[in-house]
Amino acid sequence: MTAPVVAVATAVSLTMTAFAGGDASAIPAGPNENELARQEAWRTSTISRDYDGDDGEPLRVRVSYGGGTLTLTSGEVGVLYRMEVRYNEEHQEPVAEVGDGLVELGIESFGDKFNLGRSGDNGSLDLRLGSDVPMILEVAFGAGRAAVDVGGLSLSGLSVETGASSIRLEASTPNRMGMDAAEFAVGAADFEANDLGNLRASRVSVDAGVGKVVLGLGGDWRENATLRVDMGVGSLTLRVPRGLGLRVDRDGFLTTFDSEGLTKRGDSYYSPDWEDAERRVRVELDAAFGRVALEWFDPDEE
Amino acid sequence: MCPTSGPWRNSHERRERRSSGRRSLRGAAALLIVVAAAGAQAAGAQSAEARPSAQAAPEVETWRLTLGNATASVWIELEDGRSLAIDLREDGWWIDGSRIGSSDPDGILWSSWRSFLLRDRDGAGLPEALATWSPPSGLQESSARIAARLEDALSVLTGPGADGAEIEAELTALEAEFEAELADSRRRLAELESEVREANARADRRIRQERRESEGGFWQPVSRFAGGLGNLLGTVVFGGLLALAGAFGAQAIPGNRVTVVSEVARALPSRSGVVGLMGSLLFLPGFTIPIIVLSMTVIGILLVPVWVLAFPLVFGVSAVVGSLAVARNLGAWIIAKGYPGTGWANGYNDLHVGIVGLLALFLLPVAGDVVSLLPFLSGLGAAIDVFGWLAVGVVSCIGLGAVILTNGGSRHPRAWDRSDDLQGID
Repeated sequence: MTAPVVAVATAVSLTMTAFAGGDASAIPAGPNENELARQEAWRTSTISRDYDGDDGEPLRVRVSYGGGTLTLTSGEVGVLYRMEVRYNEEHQEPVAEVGDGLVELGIESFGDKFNLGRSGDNGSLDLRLGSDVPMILEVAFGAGRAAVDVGGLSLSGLSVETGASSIRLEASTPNRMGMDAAEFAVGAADFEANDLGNLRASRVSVDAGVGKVVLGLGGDWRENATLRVDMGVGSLTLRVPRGLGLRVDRDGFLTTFDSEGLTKRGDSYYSPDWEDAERRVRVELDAAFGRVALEWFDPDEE
Repeated sequence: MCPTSGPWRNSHERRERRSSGRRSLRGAAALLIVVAAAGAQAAGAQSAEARPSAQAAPEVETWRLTLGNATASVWIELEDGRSLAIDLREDGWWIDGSRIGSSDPDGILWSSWRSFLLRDRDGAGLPEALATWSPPSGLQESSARIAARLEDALSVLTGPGADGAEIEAELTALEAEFEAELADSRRRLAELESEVREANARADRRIRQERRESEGGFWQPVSRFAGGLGNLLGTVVFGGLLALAGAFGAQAIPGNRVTVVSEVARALPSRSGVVGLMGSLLFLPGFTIPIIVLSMTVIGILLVPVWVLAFPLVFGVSAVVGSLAVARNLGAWIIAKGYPGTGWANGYNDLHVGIVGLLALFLLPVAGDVVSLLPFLSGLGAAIDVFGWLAVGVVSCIGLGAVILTNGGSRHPRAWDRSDDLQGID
């Protein structure tokens, strides 16, 4: 359970920096020097860097954002990144650093201001990563909303840490590369990940603390895979496409498990077509308190 | 090389410090090239109309546009190392970190530049777009000068770049210099590490030496035993002095005052204890405040020495007599119980009763000191010792309180006559 701790710690630190920076609010109609100064401190930056891709080694791309609205998608070929950032210059600054195989992107907060009262506008980060750039993507997101679509990226590794946020992750198209493991550490958040098969990962792990987690097992599974879910308190919904072989090994304390469509053999639950399925996913489930539900869907109708 | 607004520049400088040496070298080389190119441009006095905007677009490495309510900045770096940063801020126009002047924020130059950058620019076409920028007409003289400087600066983006071989040679030379500096730094680091190791070793030796000296080395067990014997002797002597003082006090104090104190301590131990504790806490202010008051008058000053001697003496005697009175209660109770070893004591003899009480009172401190002499039991001995002296302190408080309540055993405790516990007190 160290990952949720890390995720929560990341969330706390990132959230604090987010609140420290995000003190802008709606601009009042009347003259108010403080508000005007706040308004004038906001900047919109567009930052881009080309990618020549000469060595082919995967880059480690770290995206850190304390809070606000994060959008991450694949971008055009030949561009390493292009990001549009809205930030408060008094407390934040965009980060776009490249060196030694490491790319650090995001918004960094500074100063000691701690303002919880004005969270109406915490800025935004719209990031597009080059689809032809082989990379290990690491996303650390604190508070706010995030929509991450890693579809079409060339990922050899993926980790997402999120805190008190609502994050929706998709792999809308298959990963251009394969990866050994994709890791998600969720602190206290609503986390939804769809089409995990398109990640082309042989191991997917989800470490969740508190919240609601939805995992969609759709997508194009390249090989049999293992999905490990370690959950504290909350609800977990597994959305499973018909035709995918599913085995669930459950271990938990006070957790209800809706095993509709599965057959129990020994200590494990199996889908009816487990033996004959072209691709199989084994789910290792460890949940303390909460509810685990299965939803079957027809992949052709999705 | 970079945008120049305050936090931005700071952050960029931090990032530059964190970046690799090679990248810094490339940046430095690029800066040299930009300066050289800018110098060549200035020497040629190339006009805005003659700028080679039609040349092939150079490759863009990275770029950044920043827009705010009162700011509009662009930073662009080309693959051949050339770069340009133009900042329009509240405090004026800046090119590559140098302020070139200011224009009216609501003026047409300001608006023209800002609206130009507001258009959605594609990175690939950004140099060309920037190069084609032309100032609006109708500028005032100061704004026209700024516009001319901007055009000159923008021409760098499409002007001829430095020769590739020249750049490589420059880079190679800088890298060699960097490698030499790196090797020198490593050598100095190794020397420093060696010095630190030696200093640490010296410090360790010194600490060990001092520890041996402080612990007494070979004589440590002997000195510890001697110290324990000293503590035991001190406890016995203190108890003996208390017994002597008590015996003397019992003889010197007229009437049955000690008996009265003893009875009150027995009948009202908790009240006596609280009063005694309060009396102890008030000792210091009760001692010092009269000294201050007396010092305000000439006659009072003469009485200060008397007070300084008399007050602690009276307080001490009260505590000792009170403790003895409580010890008598304790002794009488022990003799009445007939514990082994008390057969010699006569319950009607005040001296016997007092001695038994004092022995019982000092039993724990003495036991603690004795246990401390034994090997490996010094901790247990210290605990017993502390507990024993705590008990002595409590007894002293009760005794002192009883002395205070009875005004030194002289006051008839009418207020407590209704208490059955006090029946029989004269």
